[in-house]
Amino acid sequence: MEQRIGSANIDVVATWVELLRDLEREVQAATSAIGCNQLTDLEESLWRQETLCGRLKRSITAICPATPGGTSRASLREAASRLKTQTAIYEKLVVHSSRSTAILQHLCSLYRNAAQHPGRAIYSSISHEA
Amino acid sequence: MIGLNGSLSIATEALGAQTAALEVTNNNIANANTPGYSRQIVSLSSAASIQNGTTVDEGVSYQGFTSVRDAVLDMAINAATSDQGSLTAQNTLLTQINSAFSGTTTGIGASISTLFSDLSALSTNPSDSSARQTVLSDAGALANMFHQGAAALSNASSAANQQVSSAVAQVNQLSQQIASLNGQIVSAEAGGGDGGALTDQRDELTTQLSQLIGVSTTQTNGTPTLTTTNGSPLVIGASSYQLQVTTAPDGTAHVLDGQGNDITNELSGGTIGGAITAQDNTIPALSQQLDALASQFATAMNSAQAAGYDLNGNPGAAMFTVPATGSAAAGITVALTSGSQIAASSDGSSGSSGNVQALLAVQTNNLPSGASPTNSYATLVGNIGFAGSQVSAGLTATTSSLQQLTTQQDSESAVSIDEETANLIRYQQAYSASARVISTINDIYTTLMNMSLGDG
Repeated sequence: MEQRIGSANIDVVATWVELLRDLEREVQAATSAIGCNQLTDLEESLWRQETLCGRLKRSITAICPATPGGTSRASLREAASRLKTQTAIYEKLVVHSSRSTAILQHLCSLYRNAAQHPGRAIYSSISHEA
Repeated sequence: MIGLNGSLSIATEALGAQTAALEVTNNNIANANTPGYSRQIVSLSSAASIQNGTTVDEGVSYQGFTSVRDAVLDMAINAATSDQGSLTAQNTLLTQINSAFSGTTTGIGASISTLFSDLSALSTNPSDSSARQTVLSDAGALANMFHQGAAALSNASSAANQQVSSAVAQVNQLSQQIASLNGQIVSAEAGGGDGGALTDQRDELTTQLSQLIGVSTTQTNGTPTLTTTNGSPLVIGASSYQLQVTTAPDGTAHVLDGQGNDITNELSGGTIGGAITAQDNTIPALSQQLDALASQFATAMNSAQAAGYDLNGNPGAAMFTVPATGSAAAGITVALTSGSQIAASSDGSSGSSGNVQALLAVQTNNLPSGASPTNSYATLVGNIGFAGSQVSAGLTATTSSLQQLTTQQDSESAVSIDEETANLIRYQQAYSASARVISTINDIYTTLMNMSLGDG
């Protein structure tokens, strides 16, 4: 049997919507931080994202299975969709950046090996490519 | 809050800016060991616009990149490099001179001692022709040593001339290359291209130029200008001005600027400055001392000869001849042709050795210079050694200073693989954390959808 959220729970849904919007802002902030190479900003935003996710997850788990209705349902859907879209953009950027960083780490590693054991580094580089 | 299009725009800008930033990092890593390479940093700025009185975030804007350089430090390094070049040139020449004068068993000092030692032996048997011939041979050997000393100084002077000529040719070549790079930098930057690598090359060449000649670097209306220390232009923008070398009547090399003005005496620093200092000051001063010693010693010996009589009872003839003009040390010759002409006798008898004491007294009496021949020569050798040690100490200090400056420059401009690696690890950790958050957000979204949000 489906449980509808009563008036007492409207405040809870409003809180969810607020948390979803805060999370969306943080995802946007993290996206900008990655673009600007502002590592500290990214790390701070990540900490806030984790906090918001934790609060949201605990709150939803505590009340679930509850189904909002009417206006609450519309605003919650809109907030969730916006967060989902923003997160998809964020995810693509993170994947791209992570790959770039992995390539640079590999370059750094090759360079360091070349400085220490030139012959071995060239050999392992060729082996790796092969 | 911005809309979906705004978010996509931010992400697109971010991807472009971040790609550029990573390319710069990649470039930094690849050039970590390139001499003269200056670490580059990306210039990013926050892009925003004002719409209806509200500031709207539009992500990040890529402004290009700049090389990390400290102009004051660069100038200090060039000045120290110039000093090092000058002192190295002087040190090379003084080492060459010192090796010709430093011998204790050979050389002028040893020859003077041998001459007087054999004169002393002659006093015990003044009629011994063998002993007389030995003294004559000693005089010849001493004259030869003076010739060798003069030749060593002359050779050093020639070497200094050669250094000046060779260095001027290199200065002209470097000036042309720097001017060409200036033109390329202007073209590259006008087209929005990368001028950083070209600027690094130019700075490296400027440092090489400083090794050869003291230079001043200025910017006139954004155009880099390189001049000699006296202000003669070497490079103005994309134009270079060639120096010339001519040989003066005295055989020394003179440097002329692009307009043909003699700027030799106004140059300082670098190989050219050092070689000119040695050529115009150090070597002439030493030559003057050596010539004075040769001339005064010859005069003193000739005077002592004139006071006595030779083996045949004739008045003593001059032992040495020195040229009226030119270098006395290079031109001194033994005038006597036979050992019998040594004026050992004080009364004209063959058995007398009374005048030998007068000849021996030349060894201990002061010459007009104020010191005995032996001490005069010791002073000359001491002056060479002192000049050498001063230059050597200066070179050591300058090299040390240059190393410190270079280390400081490296810490500011050079690429640190460790630093880059540490940054990359931090980035990678942040991206892993981001991935975990994204996964959580997706879980939350799924949960909300399962709460029948998606059915209506």
